[in-house]
Amino acid sequence: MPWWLTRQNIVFAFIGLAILWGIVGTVRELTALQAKRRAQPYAFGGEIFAGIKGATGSEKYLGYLTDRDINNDKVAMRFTQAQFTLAPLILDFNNPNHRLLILDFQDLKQAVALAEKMQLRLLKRSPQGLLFAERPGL
Amino acid sequence: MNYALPWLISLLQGFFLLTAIIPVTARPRMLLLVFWGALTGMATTALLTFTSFIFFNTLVPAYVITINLGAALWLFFLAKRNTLILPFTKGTVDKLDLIGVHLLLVCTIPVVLHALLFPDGGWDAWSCWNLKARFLFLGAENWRGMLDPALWRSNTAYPLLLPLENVWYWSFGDQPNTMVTLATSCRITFLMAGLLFFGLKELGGKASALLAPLWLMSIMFFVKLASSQYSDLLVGVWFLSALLAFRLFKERGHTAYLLLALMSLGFMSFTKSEGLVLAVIALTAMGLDIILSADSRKAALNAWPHLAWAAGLAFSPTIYFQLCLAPDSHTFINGLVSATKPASIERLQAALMFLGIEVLSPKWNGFWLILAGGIILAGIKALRRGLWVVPAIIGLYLLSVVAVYTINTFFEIFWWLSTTLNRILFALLPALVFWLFSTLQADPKYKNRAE
Repeated sequence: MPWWLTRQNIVFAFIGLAILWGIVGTVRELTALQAKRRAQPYAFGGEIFAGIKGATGSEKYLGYLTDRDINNDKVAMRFTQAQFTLAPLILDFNNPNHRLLILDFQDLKQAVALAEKMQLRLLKRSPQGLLFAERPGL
Repeated sequence: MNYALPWLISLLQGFFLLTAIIPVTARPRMLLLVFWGALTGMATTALLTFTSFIFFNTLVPAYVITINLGAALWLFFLAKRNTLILPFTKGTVDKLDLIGVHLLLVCTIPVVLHALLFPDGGWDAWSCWNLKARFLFLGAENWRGMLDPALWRSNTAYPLLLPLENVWYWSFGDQPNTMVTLATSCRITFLMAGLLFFGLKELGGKASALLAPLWLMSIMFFVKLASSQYSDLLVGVWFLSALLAFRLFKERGHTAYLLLALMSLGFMSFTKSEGLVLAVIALTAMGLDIILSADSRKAALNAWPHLAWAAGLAFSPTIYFQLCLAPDSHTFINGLVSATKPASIERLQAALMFLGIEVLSPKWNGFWLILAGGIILAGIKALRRGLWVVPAIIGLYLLSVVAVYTINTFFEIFWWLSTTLNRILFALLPALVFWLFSTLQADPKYKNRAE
């Protein structure tokens, strides 16, 4: 056997090939991702909740009311990104027993109807259809 | 705000700490000391930041900056007493070192580019790690709100090393800057790569040791997870650090390295619940190795008060967090006693099957196949002095992981496996590569030819 054909050199050769293959794959994927990003610039989903921040005072909890299914990944992502944006406020999922409430419904009419039914005082309404309301008496 | 200052304080703190611990005669190469010091400094500054919450029940930036600066100064004097040699003085760095650092910097570029495409990181970054950091930074006296049961989706029982590291940087500004969390993940990746390369070089490796970090950083899936701002990377780094220190202890017999291994395990236990499990298993395996080896046993017994202090200090944040802060897990159902959601053989089969599917997945770029091939070719040498602990720890850890997947029936098993198993494996990659390379290459006496 030639002197250079050692066990370690065999393994290093495979690792070298894997590195070359990996570099090609990484460059390809990064290029594709950057093209995608140019077409659709990055936006953090939780930013749509940022407008609520200034209006919460010293409140510790916010009730987050929605008719969306939290088991759906997109809905779970929207909720967790809202939580991230509004921290250190704590979003209590579908718990209406808080003074301040966010109503994040699929249909704005449903949210308005619920707000009327619960006799909420509307504090803010975002362009994305979010309602931020106060529950009098709590 | 200039974030170079917290970085510098952190680097100096770690570098002086290692210089103070390791006597000049047993000290490793300069650049290993720098990379290791930078990582150690990351952990110590984060832990000192944590004391602000313990003593004042809130973040007091002035206190945090003062205590960290004070610690760096105190360690400087300790290091000076133990012969302080500054980096880049003549003869401390060779040509390969410089080539290595530059190449590793180049290899970190994909991590930076990917991180910039997703500046808020992956799902767990905003739902867990950076959320905790925001509570710590913005919450004032209500920082414990991050442990509220309403936040059970955010893994409230997970410890705080990564969030605290970001809070340390944020203490120099007035906003929870996203670029800080992004830079933290890139910095840890670069330091991990440096620790791996210079660690292997310290153990006798030559230029081929560079293949180890390059291999990891050429895998796109590794790049994605490394830039996702998750704590799994920290688990990987501290596990690597503990193994490297333990290996140096076995090679050189100096207890400073055993002390460093214990410190690394302590830091790892404060990264994630998985890190705590891995730390306990590693402690047991390393302890067993020491008991079984007369030389190691003698050395460890001679230095036991120092080792006990170091271990106590390094594990104290974890012990405090687990006893005084961590809430009960809301995502655990003991399937062994639950009538409504019992554990089943199907869950065990699913976990094992998924493990098999995962390692064969093309996203790993053939990593697991090459690793298995390399270990098979290395044969019994992969289990020699000081190295047997690596497969023993990883094997026991994976058994524990499969047991948790089987017994905890809170989550639907396929969803749970598909979202978490790859990260558990990712955290083991630096240690596995270290094991393979130190088996094959780092020992110059090891020149087995393929017959």
